[in-house]
Order: sequence, then structure tokens, then C-alpha cells
Amino acid sequence: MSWVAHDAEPYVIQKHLGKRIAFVPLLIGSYAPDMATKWFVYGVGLFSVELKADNPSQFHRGYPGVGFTHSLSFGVVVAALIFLIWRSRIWALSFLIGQWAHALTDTLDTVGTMLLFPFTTHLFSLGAWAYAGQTGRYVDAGAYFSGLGFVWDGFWLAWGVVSWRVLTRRYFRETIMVADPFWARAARYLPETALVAIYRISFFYGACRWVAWLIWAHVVRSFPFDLSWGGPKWVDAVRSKDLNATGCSCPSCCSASPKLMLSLAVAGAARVSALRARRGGASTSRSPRDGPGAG
Amino acid sequence: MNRELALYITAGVVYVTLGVAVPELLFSWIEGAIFLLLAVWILPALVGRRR
Repeated sequence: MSWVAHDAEPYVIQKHLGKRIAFVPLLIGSYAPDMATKWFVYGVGLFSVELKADNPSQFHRGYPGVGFTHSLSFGVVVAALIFLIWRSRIWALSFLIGQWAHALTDTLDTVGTMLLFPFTTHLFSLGAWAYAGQTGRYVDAGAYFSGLGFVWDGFWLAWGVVSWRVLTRRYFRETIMVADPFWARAARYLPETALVAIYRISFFYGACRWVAWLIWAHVVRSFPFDLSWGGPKWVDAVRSKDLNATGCSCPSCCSASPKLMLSLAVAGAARVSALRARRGGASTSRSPRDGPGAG
Repeated sequence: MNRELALYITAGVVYVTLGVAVPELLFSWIEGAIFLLLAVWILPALVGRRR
């Protein structure tokens, strides 16, 4: 998991896509995979009852569980729903980009994500830093801000700082407000200072949290740094091989759903034959004598 | 612009200090959002109105 990258990435994406993207759905997409699930990973007390997943990593990223929220197809489905409901191509596309950024970023930890769900439940992981969500949020924070995770977040924050113009009032007026009518509607009720603050919230929140967690983990507490690949090694990390089908190293074997793969193959073949038929029909309706000057 | 930047930097320093002292605060995006809106919009607007 990433603690700050999901806050900072939308600003960098925004800088590169400008008016082709709407910021609010981009940010919602970036948060969407964890929005309704993270509390159950770490556990929460409710009327003296503690609610927590039996297997937090399996619940968060795997299947059965809510790991599908970290798949590319989840982004496509929600983006399609957004388009069907609001008929807004820019909102659908922005959500999709934000959600894909989240799903791809989370492949960097040791558990990874089911990127190709529902075609396979295989977890794709690059294993750069330890996934330790099952240890509780404070140990998880200590581990994350001691390994390569905080370096990754720092990279995105630094990129955001380099792209500082994206945070200016002028950029907000000329790009953010123009691209998305949401802001014009909000401007009926709120002054520009409030709207700009709302626009900047996630960057502020991400940057402050990055600094605060680093101080907390290494000054207040004494979690040791370990910037090795897959570290820190001192924490009990969950790895994708613990959750993937036993002995499965290939995403399209043990954990792939044969029925879905077959359905996809049939749908693909049908699509190709339909395209061929259309092309064939078009070429027969135009006889060789039909030149530019025919008729 | 300079006044605005100073407000954000002050808000950031206060938020980091509070977050280090009470890390529970750092988990909530909503609380972070309310804090920022208070620090850079509502409180300065109230102070401005009093003057």
C-alpha cells in the first residue's frame, strides 16, 4: 500500500493532462480502491466490538475479498457507470486514470494487486516494500516510512513541488475551473479562497503526513531504516506468493478462471469475425469499377 | 500570494506538530481537510471581518 502517493499522483497527472481531465473524479479515482475497505483491514472498534478482517491482506487485495477494487477492470466498470449516469466523458476518463494509477502503484509492495481480475486472481507484485497491514496501522506506518515506500511517496511529492504551478490560484482559475463545471457550481456557494483550498487539500494532507510520519517513526519512535528491496526486513511482511495459488508463478495458469478466459476468447473471436464481415461487405459493395469519378 | 503561502506553511507546520503529537489525526483525510479549511479560509475570514 502507499500512504502518500495516492494524494500526490493526481496533481502530477493533472499537470500533464491539463484541461483534458477533471480533477475531482481523478482524485476520487485515486482514492476509490481503499475508500470503503481500509478500516476493515486495520480494524475498528464499534460499541466494544472490534471489527477486523480475519486475513487483512487477503481481504484488502485478494479474492475472496475486496481486492477487485484494485483491478484495472474495476476502474473500467465504474468509469462506464459514471458515463452512463452523468454522460460525462471527462469524468469517466478522469476516474479511470485515477483508479488505474492507484492499482498500478500498489503493485509495488510485496502483496501487489489483482490487476487482471476477473480473468485471473493472480496478484502482480514488484515487491519493492513490505506490506504489513496485518500488523496494525502504527507498525504498518513505522514499516512503510522505514522502507522504500516513503522514498516512492517522496518522489511523487517532489514531482508535485516541481510542478508547483499546478497548485497556483491562476492554474485553478484557468484550467481546473474551465475543465469541470463542478467548480462553477460550487462557486455559487463558496468563495474562491475556499475552492482553491479544497483543490489543494490532498497535496497539503499528503505532504504534511509524509513529514509527520517520518518524524514520528524515527524521532518519536525508533523504527530502523531499511531501504533494501522488499524491506524493511524487521517487519513480518505478507508476500504475493503467500496469497497466490500454490506454486503458481504464471498469471494465466492456476489462478485464472478458465470460464472467463474462454468467454473472453469467444468474445474476441466474435468481434474479429464481425469486423471482417463488415470489411468484406464494404469491399463487395464497392465494385472495382467504382472509382473516384464513377456515377 | 506571499500572505497566502505563509498561511499554508503555518498551517502545515501546525498540522505536522499536532500529527506527531497525536498520530491518530494523521489517519483522517476529513479531519485534515477541515483543519486546512479552518486555517486558510474560515479563521482568516473571521479575523478580517473583526477588523
